Amino acid sequence: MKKYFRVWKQLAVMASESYMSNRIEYGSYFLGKIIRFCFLMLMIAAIFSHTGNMAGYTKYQVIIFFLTSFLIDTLGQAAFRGVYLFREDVRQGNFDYTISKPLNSLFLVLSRLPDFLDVIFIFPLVAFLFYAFSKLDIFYNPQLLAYYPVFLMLSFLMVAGIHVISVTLTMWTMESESFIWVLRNTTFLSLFPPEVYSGSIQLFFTFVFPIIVIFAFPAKVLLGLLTLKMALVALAMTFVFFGGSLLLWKTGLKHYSSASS
Amino acid sequence: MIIQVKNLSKTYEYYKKAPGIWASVAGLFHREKLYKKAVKEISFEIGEGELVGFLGPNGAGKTTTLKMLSGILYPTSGEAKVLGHTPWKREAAYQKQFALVMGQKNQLWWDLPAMESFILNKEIYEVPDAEFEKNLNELVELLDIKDILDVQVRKLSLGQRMKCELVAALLHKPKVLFLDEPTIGLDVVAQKNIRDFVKHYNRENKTTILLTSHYMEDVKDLCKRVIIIEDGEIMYDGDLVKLIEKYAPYKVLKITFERDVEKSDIDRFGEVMEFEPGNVILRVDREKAKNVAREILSSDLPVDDILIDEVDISDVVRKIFSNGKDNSLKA
Repeated sequence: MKKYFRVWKQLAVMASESYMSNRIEYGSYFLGKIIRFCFLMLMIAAIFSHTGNMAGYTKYQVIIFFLTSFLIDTLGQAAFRGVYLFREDVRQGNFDYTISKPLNSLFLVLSRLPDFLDVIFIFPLVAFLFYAFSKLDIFYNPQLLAYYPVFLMLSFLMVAGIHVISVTLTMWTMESESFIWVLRNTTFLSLFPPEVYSGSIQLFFTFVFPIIVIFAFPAKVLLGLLTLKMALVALAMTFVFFGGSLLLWKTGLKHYSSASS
Repeated sequence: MIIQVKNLSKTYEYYKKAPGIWASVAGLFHREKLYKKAVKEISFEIGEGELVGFLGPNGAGKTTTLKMLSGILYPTSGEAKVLGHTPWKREAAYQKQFALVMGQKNQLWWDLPAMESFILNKEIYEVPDAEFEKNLNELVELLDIKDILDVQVRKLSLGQRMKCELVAALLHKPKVLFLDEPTIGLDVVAQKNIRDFVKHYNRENKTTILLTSHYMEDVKDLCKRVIIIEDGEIMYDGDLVKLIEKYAPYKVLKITFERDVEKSDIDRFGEVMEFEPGNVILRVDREKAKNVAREILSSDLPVDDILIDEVDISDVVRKIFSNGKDNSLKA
């Protein structure tokens, strides 16, 4: 474990230096992220200037859904940015080096470029969350607050699983990291409470492509709206999804054919 | 034995892709699976400290073999042991004892100085600080790269980058080194620098090295033993000198004349390979080379200089490949 931390620390140092040597590229990326965040906040404010609730949720409850979703997305991007470099590594054959090193290759692939710009973003997000939570007219329950990070962790594992599936598919097909863009694009759907969508869409995004479990369940836990049954479903799905993705990666590695020399 | 390979085979699966948009659309629904036998039941052994050249034309199976021995690829069948480990089990205990350098690929971070990648490898291979310092200083001095350690990799020349790749690969003092085309694309001076380094490193550290290269100079300079592979099968495994003796039973006489001579004046001495009035290249039997040279010098021909040379090894290998597979080639 100590070895992995030391490697991650060095990767983080290198990533930071790399960002600083590409200031314009990463500055633009960070600016884009801030603009997107502000735009979505304005959209929520605009919606609630015309209506008192959305699918039965108050303004601050909707903001909790929005911020939780944004937080999980940001955590995933901060930790697993390496996924976006993977296709080139596979195509150019540089992944051969990764695979031959005495370290878990999946760890090296996913954590290759820890994103500190995203980490910086996490602090205001958490502050906003506290603010929104303080505005809620609900009975303060310390248990709910304790469960919230646990469900964030489960969501993080699910997001990790999606990244693992994405890199496995890239390794197999040598095509783009398209699967991760399915997550990125559907994340937009999860910025609002799932009840705004029809029942069949909710079912699909809960049990088939579980973005509701990933992004909405932690918010529901914080709001005290998740039933014990659904909490257990989330737990089971996390283990199956994350475990399955690791199995898939292992199988993928066995069939890796490497780029031609 | 450090490397033992027995009946190792690798078959790649791939899909047929016909040209044209309609073929691409059809390919969405049905794709024909094809198989390519890249390596066919090859066997060989390499002892400690040996530096073996692995020769063959493009697509012969050299790199595939190297990748199986590095644990990058799973074989279709067969066995291999390197330092007592099965490579494709990818055990950390094995991975810490070998290194792989591929001339056309890189493990250094493009935007950063090479030093950062060295430190990353130090952590990955768990090299103690003191040992890291010692190994790094040694390698930096040998390769003469002190001045470029703090330069972004993308600003380095290809030769400088290859030197840094070698340092990154050797910091943990591997017992086995796989070199896949380490001099590819380099100018002659850079090629020689890399060759000199590999020779020195092999001699000083007794590192077992398996080298593939397109440049015959690399092989001639570095390897006593060569393994020649074509179409996935080993055609020759043995001493390089014996290979030349066996498949090039002749030497080359390069003669320079003080003034122009006629071709008919010299073709009695041997087979004329190249003729210009002042310069001639003759091919003569290996055993008779000295006597023929003596005869030419004592003749009335206006000889200015005469050189007895070995035939170009690339010609030998080309001859073997053009003859096709022949079991008699096995040493």
